[in-house]
Amino acid sequence: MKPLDGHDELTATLRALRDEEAHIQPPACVRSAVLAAWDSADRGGLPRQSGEVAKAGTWRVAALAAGVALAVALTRLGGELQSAIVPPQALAAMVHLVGEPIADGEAVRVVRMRMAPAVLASLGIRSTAGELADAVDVDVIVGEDGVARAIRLGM
Amino acid sequence: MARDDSGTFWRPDAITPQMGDAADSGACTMPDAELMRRTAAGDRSAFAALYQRHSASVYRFARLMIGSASAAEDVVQEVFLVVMRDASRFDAARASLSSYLYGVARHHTRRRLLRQRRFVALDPRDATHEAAADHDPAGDLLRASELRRLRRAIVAMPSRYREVLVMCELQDVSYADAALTLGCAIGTVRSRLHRARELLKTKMRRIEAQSPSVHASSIRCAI
Repeated sequence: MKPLDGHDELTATLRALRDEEAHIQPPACVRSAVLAAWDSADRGGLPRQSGEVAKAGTWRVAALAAGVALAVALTRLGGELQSAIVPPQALAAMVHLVGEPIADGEAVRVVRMRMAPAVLASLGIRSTAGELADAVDVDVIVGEDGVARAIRLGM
Repeated sequence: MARDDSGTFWRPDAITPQMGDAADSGACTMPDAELMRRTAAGDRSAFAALYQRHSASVYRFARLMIGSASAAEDVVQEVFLVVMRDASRFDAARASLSSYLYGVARHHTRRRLLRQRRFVALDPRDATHEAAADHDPAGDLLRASELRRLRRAIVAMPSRYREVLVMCELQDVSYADAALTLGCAIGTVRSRLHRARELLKTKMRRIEAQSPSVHASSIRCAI
């Protein structure tokens, strides 16, 4: 490999890297996660404008309620884990986002994606084990109308 | 849907028709300030258009700053969550949207780097980025090796130099916009860039001289 001594050589190498980088795009699942957060906020979730104080209060209450529900689910599942071997499908918590609860037999799509802890927090989902550093794999349950209805989290 | 390189989860190619294109609404041609105004008013297609227009540069910036594709994906999500929440606070008279987004991305990458003061493995998909079909396999190998060395050297630089280099040399951000993002004078951007290039040359030489026994995909990510 040739040594990188000159100014021009460095410029050329940087240009090559820039050309290569120009083709790199974030994966589609990131877009899906971001837009799922939007859809959730659009239906009474996040406040989008600084003046929406009342909405902010509603959101905080909703987030708190969802957090409490998740914490309860986590605690219960933790207890079950300690007491007995449970089938793998039981090791998940479902957090309902918008609309009616998902009915039995309703056609839905399950999309597995990675969500940043901040996005989960915006949906009212917080870890009971403290601040998470890495993204979390979740299943987003999408209704026939294309709206993200619920999130299923693995335990 | 397609399986991820790591084989750990499935990536959706698209999620639903409703989460579809901003192109349908004509939002793609609007200026950033108008898209931000519409986003603040709750226009989903404007938000989608903003994402489509700026997510790649945010992603590339974060990836080069952190040295990890998966961490960069998190940063993109965090940045657009901020856009979603605070679109109404954006003032186009103060800075371009790019500067604003780089500023938010910079904040999140620095926070992440500070929180994770540890060795960060470069993603295999970073190191083996697919090259276009070429007629010169030997040349490709050399080029890939050179770029890998450059990526490692960039990630190993102190962040105040790395961010200037990434923005000005690799993302085509103007000195004025970089200065706005970093909150410093244009002269400071120029001097940091000069210093960054010198540092880069030194680090690349050092990486080249390193023993081959050093694990190729694990380097220290400087804060």
